[in-house]
Amino acid sequence: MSTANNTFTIPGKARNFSFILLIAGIVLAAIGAAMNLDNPTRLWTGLLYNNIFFLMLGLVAALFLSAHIVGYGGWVTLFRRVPEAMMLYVPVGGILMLLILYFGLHHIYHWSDPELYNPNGPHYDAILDGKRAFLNPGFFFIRALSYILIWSGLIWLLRRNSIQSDLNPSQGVQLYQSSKYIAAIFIVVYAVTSSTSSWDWIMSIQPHWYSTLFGWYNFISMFVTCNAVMMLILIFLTRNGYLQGITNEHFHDLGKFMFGFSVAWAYLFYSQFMLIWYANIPEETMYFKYRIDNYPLLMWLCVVLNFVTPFFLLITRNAKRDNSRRIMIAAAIIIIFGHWLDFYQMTMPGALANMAHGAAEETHGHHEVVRIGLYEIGLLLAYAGLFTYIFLYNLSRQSLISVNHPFLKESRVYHT
Amino acid sequence: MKHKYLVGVYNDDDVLLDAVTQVRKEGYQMHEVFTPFPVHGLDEAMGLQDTRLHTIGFVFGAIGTLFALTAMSYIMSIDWKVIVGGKPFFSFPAYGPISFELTVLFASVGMTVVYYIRNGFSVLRDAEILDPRITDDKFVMAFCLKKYHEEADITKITGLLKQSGAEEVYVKEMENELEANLIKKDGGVIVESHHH
Repeated sequence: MSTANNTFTIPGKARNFSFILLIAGIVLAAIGAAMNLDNPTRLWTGLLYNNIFFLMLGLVAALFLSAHIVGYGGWVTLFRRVPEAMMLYVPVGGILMLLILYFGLHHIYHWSDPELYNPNGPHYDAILDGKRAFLNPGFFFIRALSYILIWSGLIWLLRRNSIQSDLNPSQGVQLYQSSKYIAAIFIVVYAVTSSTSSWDWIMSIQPHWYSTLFGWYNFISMFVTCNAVMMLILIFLTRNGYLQGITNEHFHDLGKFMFGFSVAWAYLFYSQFMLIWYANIPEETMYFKYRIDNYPLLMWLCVVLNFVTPFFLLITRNAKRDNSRRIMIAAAIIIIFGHWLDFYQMTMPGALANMAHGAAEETHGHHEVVRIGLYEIGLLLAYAGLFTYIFLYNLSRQSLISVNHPFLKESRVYHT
Repeated sequence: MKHKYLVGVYNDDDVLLDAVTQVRKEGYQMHEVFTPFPVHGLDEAMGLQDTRLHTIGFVFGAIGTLFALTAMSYIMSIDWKVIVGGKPFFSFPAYGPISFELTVLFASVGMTVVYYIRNGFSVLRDAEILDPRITDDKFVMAFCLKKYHEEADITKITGLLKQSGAEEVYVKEMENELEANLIKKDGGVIVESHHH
């Protein structure tokens, strides 16, 4: 491996691509927004779910890295700077998240309406009053702020250790050892906060509804998306002459992750759906009932895109090792888009119904249409552009390979 | 009729891997390699065809899924209708766990049976082991002497084995023929083994 290839300079095309995505996305979203000014709920919820999607993408990259640090997963060492650069999006996405939550609170979250807690008022909601100790704006913002601070802090520590090991050739092992503690803490923090943040930001859109595995569902959704994004990035980097140590073995294993976690997603989707369907308790079934009645295409499309398609595309060994990587690229794009749709599906129907009718369960016989228009597509492009640029920038700031990492050789001679 | 094999015994998996490459570079194809644990990269080094066992697994799995779904649909909605929790007789979501279990069961049992048949294992006779030490700590490379019956070839292979680090080279007579591996059509590109 030549040292020349160890420094990543952002290719002009990639930089322009990210700017074009960002600008085109903002323009499209602005046009879409101008056409829907009468529906602020849609505008804020669109921002919310796009922001969560990309914030969690960065966050789960840190989890990917931490899991491999703690589990002595040597094979990722060659390309560990990729998840590292991805996770540095978290502070940016986190600040945007706080802004969206602050300004959009009353447009997105039905429970933030103070009228619901007035026992003598016409809108009094006894169930929400019971949840008030947890679900009130003050505590909600304290939680959001602390998630973002803790995540960013731990991510900063992980990154600092990684950079330090580049500068101190003799300390590769010690720095790895201390990264293990940070990574272990991060995993525990993530285990709790991935659940609570998805309750806060997504599940509470329909505040009567609850599902105990909602957090895991979100985690798996993001984990498989993160694998798909990394797959695309690695294909891009290797085709541009970087990371030539990456072989079919690495692609094969990342492909197995995409396949395996797509199945894990299906498992969690089914576990959530089947138990709620079977128990048939009104405050649980309303989530699926509302979607099956009003958004059947969207709901089942998510299952097809996120499980059926990747399952059959990625099941063969050749699909994962084929040098053209055609199937891999197709599967990765389908997975990313499918999970983005799934986030739409988790947030938008509930928010729109709540704002229009008070509560989602009171809308029998009312048919909504899927509203994915210029606005949502524009936001997806804009966020993708922003994420891509921040990723490229962070990737170019450090050497592309963590040269003093103790597992670097293991990663080079890796064989599945 | 006895079947004769030329056997080279190795002490280390890395040495073995290099030896396999070296022998194949000289144009000789080993009949089989036996190791006490899976050695990464050995299949590629030997030029073996990719296994088709997973395809069999998929086919058996699909049969299992279809069997489960048809059986449950017939039982629950035609043959013996029972009202469970007020659900419809044909309740697709409820069929998931059983379909999954039968998929796994069919795939695993099917693959095991095919694997046994393909390798000539049978409950009716004892396994004949080429060299008992392969179940402990030795690595063994075997050449079929039906294929290499010329004295010159045998001398050459023996030399190659010893030179590449074999501790011991001998000829073994077996009652049963060892099942042959499928080699890639082009003989497989000779892979330089990794140095760990």
